[in-house]
Amino acid sequence: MIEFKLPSLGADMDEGMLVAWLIAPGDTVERGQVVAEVETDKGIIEVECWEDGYVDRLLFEPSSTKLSVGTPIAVLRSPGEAAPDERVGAADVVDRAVAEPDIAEDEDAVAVASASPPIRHLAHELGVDIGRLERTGGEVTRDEVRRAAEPVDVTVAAAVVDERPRVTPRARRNALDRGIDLGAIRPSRSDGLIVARDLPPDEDTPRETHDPRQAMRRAIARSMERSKREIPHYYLGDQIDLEVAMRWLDEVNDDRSLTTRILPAALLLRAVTAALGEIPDLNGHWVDGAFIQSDKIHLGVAVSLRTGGLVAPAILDAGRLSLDEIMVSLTDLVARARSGRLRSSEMSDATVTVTSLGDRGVDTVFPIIVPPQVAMVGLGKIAQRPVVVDGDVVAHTVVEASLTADHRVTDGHRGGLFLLALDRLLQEPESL
Amino acid sequence: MTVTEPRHATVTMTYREAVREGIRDAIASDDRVFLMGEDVGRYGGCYAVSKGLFDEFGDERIRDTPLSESGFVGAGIGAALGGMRPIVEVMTVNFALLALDQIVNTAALYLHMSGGQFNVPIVIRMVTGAGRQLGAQHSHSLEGWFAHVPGLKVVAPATIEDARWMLASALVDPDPVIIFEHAALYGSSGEVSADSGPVDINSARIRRRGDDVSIITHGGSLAKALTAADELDALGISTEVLDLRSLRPLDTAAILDTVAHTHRLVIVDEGWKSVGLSAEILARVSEDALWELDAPVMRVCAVEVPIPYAMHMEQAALPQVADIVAAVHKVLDR
Repeated sequence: MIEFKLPSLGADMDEGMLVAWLIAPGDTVERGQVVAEVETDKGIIEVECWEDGYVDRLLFEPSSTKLSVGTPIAVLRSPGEAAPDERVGAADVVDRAVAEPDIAEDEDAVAVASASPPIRHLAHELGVDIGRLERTGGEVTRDEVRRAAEPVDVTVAAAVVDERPRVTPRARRNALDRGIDLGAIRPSRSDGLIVARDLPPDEDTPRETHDPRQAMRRAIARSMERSKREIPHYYLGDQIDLEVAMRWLDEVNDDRSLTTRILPAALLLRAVTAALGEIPDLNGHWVDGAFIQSDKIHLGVAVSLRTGGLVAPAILDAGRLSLDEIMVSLTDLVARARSGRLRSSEMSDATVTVTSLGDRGVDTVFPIIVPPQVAMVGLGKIAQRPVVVDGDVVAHTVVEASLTADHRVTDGHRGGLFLLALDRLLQEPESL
Repeated sequence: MTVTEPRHATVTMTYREAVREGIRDAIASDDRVFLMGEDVGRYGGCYAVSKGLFDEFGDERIRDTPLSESGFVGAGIGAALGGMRPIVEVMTVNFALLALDQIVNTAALYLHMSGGQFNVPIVIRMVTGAGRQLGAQHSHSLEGWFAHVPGLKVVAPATIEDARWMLASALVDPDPVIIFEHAALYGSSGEVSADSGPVDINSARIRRRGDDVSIITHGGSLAKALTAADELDALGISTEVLDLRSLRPLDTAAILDTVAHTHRLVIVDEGWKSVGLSAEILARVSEDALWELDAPVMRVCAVEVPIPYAMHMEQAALPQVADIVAAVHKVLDR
């Protein structure tokens, strides 16, 4: 059995609401398949499954109850793992009846049909609901009915039936402080007592309300507070001449239909990934006091939402994508971000982020790093500006590129090399 | 060739010798100090604590008394009021009940009832605890009764160092101090730093650092708690052991600190549970550290019977290492 747990969809996520299941018991699932939709502070995220297997049970119905990260939400079977047989005790039947009434109903139809009248009479006398018997097929036997009539282990039954979980004072205070729903916590102790270690790891979370915009604001606040508290930022800026790049882009787009045209933003992103290839120590995560460089570039792209707030989903493995592929990915990502349909890996895996406030008419951005990343690239408005070329002042298309980086990992010299590389690469757009 | 390593200067002595050295020191260094009690002089003390002191200091300083606890404790109080610094030995706490009136109604109250005019600088040493097959009337642990009373200080040396030096601090104290010496400890031995000196008599001390569970105990149960901690350590359970040392005042801050550190608590007390020291400790934890608790608290105390005479029954009635280990397992659920 594989417990499928609610994944963390970003370093600052502690809980989410299960919005929809895209799978049902009995389905085959593959690694990477989207299996559920979960609403977080950042909108509705499509959650992927990381195992191949079969769906055995779904442990929660979609509801507005917030589930903590790490809560088991489904049980999967590995390929080749047998279905559970009827050794499953009465306690499990109770558990199932509570957890998934709909599914139990389907199985009833089969079971009831195959019980003979004397068996049904016995079941009635003993107060056993034949429809609730957990079985694989064939005629229901007297023994099965008698077994089911045996008293359920009192502690287990109490744990299931008693709505008020038994919780230590420390765990209770902890849960209260952090807004954790104790009903969703599974005790690890044999006596069913919920203790502090049963709660999800503490991320210093204040209590949340159900207003998604407020929740997103708080998530951003938490992340940015942590950034400014922990990361020693340094900031560099450089004006990059885009005259050559824009002319080249015009030529490329001339031959293309409207839908396949490449936007300047995509060209800039492609140049950023190429420059990161040269300065890889800006790409990765700072974890537990050390920098872990990533060999793939998962390029976070800050997308402001029309409803307010901000998400920065990642174009996964952007270092390997051609300019055209980046354009396609960018269009797709922005559309899904704005409709609230992002995938879990896109939300949690960014190794570096780019923010562009050019379309808001801002010349220069001084970004704040998103922990645990160690750098962020800012791009301002692409505009005509006076520049000096060979002693003459002329009008050229330029962009203000900025870099904020974590001084624990790199120094200004390295950061400067990155901006220089970006500049150089954009003077040879055909090589991108 | 044998090379004698320069050793860190320590002295190995028994608990009994440590107490004796403390008394000898006090008598030799302060003319006002004398020892008084049943058989403390010519016989050398029922537990041989004062053996040799009579010959050394004479019958003025080491005074045998009649078998009258109320009488000689009262005499000690009078001497203290008169400017002396008496050390009164009561053979066991069980016999001190005869002197309760003197201790509770007189020694503990005079400072209060005289409006601060008369303090009573008496030190009363008592033996407590079971384990030596002395029968119920010699075996009870009644420290808690005295720790109940405002106006008294109550201490319980559990280590050789405390046995050696608590007396000096008690004699300096201007008010009555009761020192509980556990009968089973007299033969135990250990090292004391040669340059050690008077210790405070109002704080608890952590005797072993640990992270998973705290054991709070005192006196004769400390060694059992430490042995249990060793056994638990072998099983990967890290146990903190707090020696209360002072039973009145209780070092509440130390109690709360250890609970805040491990979040799990076992209290070991050779007294009975009901209305006892262990109940008081637990009450303070409930008052001020409830939200730190991450498991139910367990108490390992004497069975609620008069301590039996028969050895197997006596041992069965007392907290044992195995009981402490079992309690920790239950608290931790592992």
